[in-house]
Amino acid sequence: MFRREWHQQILVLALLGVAVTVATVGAAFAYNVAPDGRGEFGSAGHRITFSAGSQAAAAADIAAAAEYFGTIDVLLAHFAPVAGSARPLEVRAQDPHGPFSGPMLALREGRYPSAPEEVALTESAARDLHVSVGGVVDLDGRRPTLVGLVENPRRLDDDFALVAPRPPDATDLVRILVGGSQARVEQFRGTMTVDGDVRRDSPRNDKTVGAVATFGLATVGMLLVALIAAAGFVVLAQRRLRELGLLAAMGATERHVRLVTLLNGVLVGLSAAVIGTAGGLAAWALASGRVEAAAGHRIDGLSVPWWLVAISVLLAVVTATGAAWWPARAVARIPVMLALSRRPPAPKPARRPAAVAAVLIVAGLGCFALAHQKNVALIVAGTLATPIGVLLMAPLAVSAAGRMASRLPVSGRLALRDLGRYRARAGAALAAISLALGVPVAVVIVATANAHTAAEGNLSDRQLLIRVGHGQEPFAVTPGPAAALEALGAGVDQLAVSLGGATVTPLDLLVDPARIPEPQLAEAGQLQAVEVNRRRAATDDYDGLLLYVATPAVLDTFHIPPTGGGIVTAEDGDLFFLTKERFRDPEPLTDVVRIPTPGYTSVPDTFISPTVAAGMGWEPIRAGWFMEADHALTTEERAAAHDLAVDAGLTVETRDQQASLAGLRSGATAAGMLLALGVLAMTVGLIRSEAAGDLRILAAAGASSTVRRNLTAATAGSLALLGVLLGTAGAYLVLVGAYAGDLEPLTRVPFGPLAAIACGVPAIAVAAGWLLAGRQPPALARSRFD
Amino acid sequence: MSVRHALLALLSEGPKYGLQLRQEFEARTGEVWPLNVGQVYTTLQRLERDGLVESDDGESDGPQKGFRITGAGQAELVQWLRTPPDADVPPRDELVIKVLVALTVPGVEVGELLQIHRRHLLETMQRYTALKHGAADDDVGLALVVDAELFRLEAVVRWLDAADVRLRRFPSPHRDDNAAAPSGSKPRRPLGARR
Amino acid sequence: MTAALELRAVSKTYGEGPAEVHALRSVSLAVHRGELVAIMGPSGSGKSTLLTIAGTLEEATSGDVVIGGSDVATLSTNDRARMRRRSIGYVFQDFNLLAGLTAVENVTLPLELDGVRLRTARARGLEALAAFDLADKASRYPDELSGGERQRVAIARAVAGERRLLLADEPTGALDSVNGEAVMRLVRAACHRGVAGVIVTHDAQLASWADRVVFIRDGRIVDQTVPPAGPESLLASGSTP
Repeated sequence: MFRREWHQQILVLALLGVAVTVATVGAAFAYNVAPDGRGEFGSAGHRITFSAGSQAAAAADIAAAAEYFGTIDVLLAHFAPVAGSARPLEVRAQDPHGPFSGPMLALREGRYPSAPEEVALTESAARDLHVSVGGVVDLDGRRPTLVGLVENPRRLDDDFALVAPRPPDATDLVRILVGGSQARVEQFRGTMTVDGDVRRDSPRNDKTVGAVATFGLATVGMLLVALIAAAGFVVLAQRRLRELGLLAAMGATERHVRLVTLLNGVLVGLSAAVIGTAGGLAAWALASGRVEAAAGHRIDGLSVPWWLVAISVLLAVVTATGAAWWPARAVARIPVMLALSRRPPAPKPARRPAAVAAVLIVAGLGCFALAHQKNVALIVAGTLATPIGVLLMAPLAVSAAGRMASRLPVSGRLALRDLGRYRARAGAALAAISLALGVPVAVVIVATANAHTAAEGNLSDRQLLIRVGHGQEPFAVTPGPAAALEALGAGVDQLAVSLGGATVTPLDLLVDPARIPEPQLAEAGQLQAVEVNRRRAATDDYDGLLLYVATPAVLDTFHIPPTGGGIVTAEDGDLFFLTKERFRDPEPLTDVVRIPTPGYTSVPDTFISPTVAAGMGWEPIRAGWFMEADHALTTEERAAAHDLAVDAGLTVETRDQQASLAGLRSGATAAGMLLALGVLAMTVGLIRSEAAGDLRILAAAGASSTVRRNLTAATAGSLALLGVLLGTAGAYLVLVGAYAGDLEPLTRVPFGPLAAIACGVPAIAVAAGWLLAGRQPPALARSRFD
Repeated sequence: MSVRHALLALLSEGPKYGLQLRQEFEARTGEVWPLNVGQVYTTLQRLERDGLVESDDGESDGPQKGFRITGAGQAELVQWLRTPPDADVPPRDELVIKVLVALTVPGVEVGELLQIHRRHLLETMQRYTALKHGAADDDVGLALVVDAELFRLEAVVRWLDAADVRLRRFPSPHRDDNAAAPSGSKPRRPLGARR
Repeated sequence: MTAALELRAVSKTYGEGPAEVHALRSVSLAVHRGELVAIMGPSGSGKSTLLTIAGTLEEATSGDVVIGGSDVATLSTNDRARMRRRSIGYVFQDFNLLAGLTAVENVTLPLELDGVRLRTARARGLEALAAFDLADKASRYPDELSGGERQRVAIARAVAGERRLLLADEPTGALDSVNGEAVMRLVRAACHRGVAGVIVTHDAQLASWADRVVFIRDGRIVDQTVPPAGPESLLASGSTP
């Protein structure tokens, strides 16, 4: 079976193999990069966190937990200042062989500390402390010996010093890792005796995201496989037309003939699946090391979703067989005499696929319209039907291109007519290229559509949010003497003047003098600001909102009408003041007035009246300033503001430049272009390899190598151009459906990346085709003569 | 082919004079078959004797004497057209005999002999083809005659080619000792050396 | 008078070592303008190789190939391609036409490759097709033509313009004898206009159209016919049956 046309067989095999490789690596990547909570929680289901407060209470609670849960893992932490570093180092007492914390700890060098005067450090901590294994660490007023280097393999940015397990201290932050149901943990939490807040949290389940991403990747990958394989098998079937005709002439039935081609598909699919999977696994084993840095946790080269690999192997075989089925059916139906003369019947007008395509597109858009952005099944149906409809337009597009070729120079004319003549394979190839381009185009469009405009984002481009202190933690406030605050205020005023007379509004947060500060904040000399907790109905958990004091200046700046309410907020959901006592049976706050959302996420949107705050016994503390200039800040002004702020001990927040979205855009653009070009290269190779006979005639007619180059370049270029058009059209159609309720975001067209794809892909295709096609196959002239 | 039947065929179109018959005969056979007047009249006399044609009475023999076909003549013509030609000639072709003889004659290179005949045949074919090429397109008679000759000659050329291949594979049925040492360029041993 | 095509002691060897094949051994041949030469020989005698070398599609291992007075060895690849566009017409046994081009586009292919404007080329192509009685088939694609029509289109292309050398490899191979004769009449007509023609064949009837038949065997020219006398000689020789 593979003896004949091995060249083509190998091309198809390579195409399929690469697709399977990409699918395998993609699956492994998506599976492994998806963050999980193991860096924080190990293998535990829940974590109970509290400040020890007193040694006895903490020890009692730990003992109670051990009795209540059976298996627990206790991590004690206190924070030691590090000379020359602003950040204190966490000194963590942890059992290296704890039942839950295993995934959080790995030994890089030496051994784990086992005695009180021994310590292990993470590599970067050891670097900061200028110490190597065997040396003495100057830590927290003690001088333990460094016995090993460790890391948190699930969170490589986790810096800490590891010491042997010990009883809790009064200053410790205690983390207890436990299993069991949430209700059971909550029940235990109610029985705890320790003072201060006790938090319970659980690893967020991000696996679904990873699984969905992986599934999407695999689906797109396999659709690509199917299209590419279809193109390949059409070529193969055409090449073996005569052979198959002979089979039929000797009395083989249509079924026999179909079986021959089909079997070919199964074999190629199987080989491609095996080779591709092996290649993918090898590539993943090699690449996983590099991915670690990006993912921020250790990745095992063997950590591959095996069920997903199995499915992708199965899918590869099934898609290859499916892809072979169609040409097999078509070939089997060609009349014997036409097959024997190697003259396939003239292609029928592409009316039927065009009609199917139109129906699919209309149906897809209809699904979107009916779904009203809510009905998931309809959205999925629309998302599938619309692009498949667009891809079915590919044969129509190639034959249209063939018809429009008459006015072109001979090489362009030949290239386009050949595409139109071999519509089946060219259509499948075009569909593959369109798909490869359509997905990144959609990503780019969505990224742009979601990019905030003048009315969205963290802040408007005229606004500055200035916080006291250098911390990034917004709930931490830095108290200071009045004189220092005044100096800061002067600095802010100076900044306002430098920005052309911006308005400045001081912002105050509240602190609870009765509250025991958290150790980390206390170490940094900071206090915890009072927060109001909001319950999210969807997930039934709480998050904290910064609670600003509604001074007259604040009310004026944020256009809040005097409502007389205790709390004014633009957020939705029930609000609570959660403390340990009140947590058990929380009552939502009733004295809440809702205001329209300010649109910008960092603009203060939740306020408490000063009198209510005073009634709670909370003290206002100057947390920062809100500044609004009369013009959009230039990059230079922003930089100047940052410099000034740093000098004054302030932190400035300006409009986020959304580097990550830009990164996503350029990443998607580049990846899509690369993938499309790869598919293009292989399919053009496949299509032009068919035209070896044409090259002989061209050579005899006096075509120079330039004509050969032009021919390949024109084929590649026109396929690329058509692919860009179809891909973009498909992406927009799907997105128009998806954004049916509000098309406004789509009016933000990502001209840059789209232009890069629309011009870049055809240009590179033409250039590559031109460069690579110059060589004349040496045996060409001879092959048909003797 | 007999001149008898050719003349009968011409007369089946209508009465004709002797001279006219001769001209038409030559024209219809592509002028490759020259016929002298005496031949025409001798044949006509025989035909008349056999009652297959009738002549205008009272006219002396000569170019102006008219002839017409009789019913018996018509029947004879149809009968002749349907009779298969005498194709079963015994295998006594001169060229075949020459080649067979050459195999046994010492000092004769058979391949060369075949080529000489091939060249002669081709030269003859070239002349026929030139004849066909030079003739008017609608001269179907000539074309048919020339084609017949070309196909015949081509058959001989193909026989030569086949003989060539056969003799290369088995240089000579009579020179087995030579076949063992095929050193092509050496003069062949005289046939007489054969024991 | 310079020959339109001259081969001087041309040899061609394929492969190396034990796989070495001598396709041509010191072949010398001159074809003059208006002359039609047939190369005749059995399969594997090297006749097709001779044609590809004469058509600059392949290079001789040794010896000179002179076409229209210029030595092919001194020409660059692009010059050779230009020579094929302008001076050499090729006709193969079959698959002569690009399936993606119409009949007239196939005829104008060398002209277009040579940079002749589309409109001019088309007019000339139609003219050439009309001369071959194919004007009404000009816009058909090859798979819409009969075998004889396809071959006629191929010859129309090979002799269109100011071609000086027509090279044909079994040009009537796939045709019946009447269609084949029509093709050969066209070839002869082209030679009559001054084209030098070379036909490679193993078919004696086809070869008999030539002015001169050259016999090739094992890569060597072994014999050739002497230019024939006129048809009168047939009558004079008394070959009346």
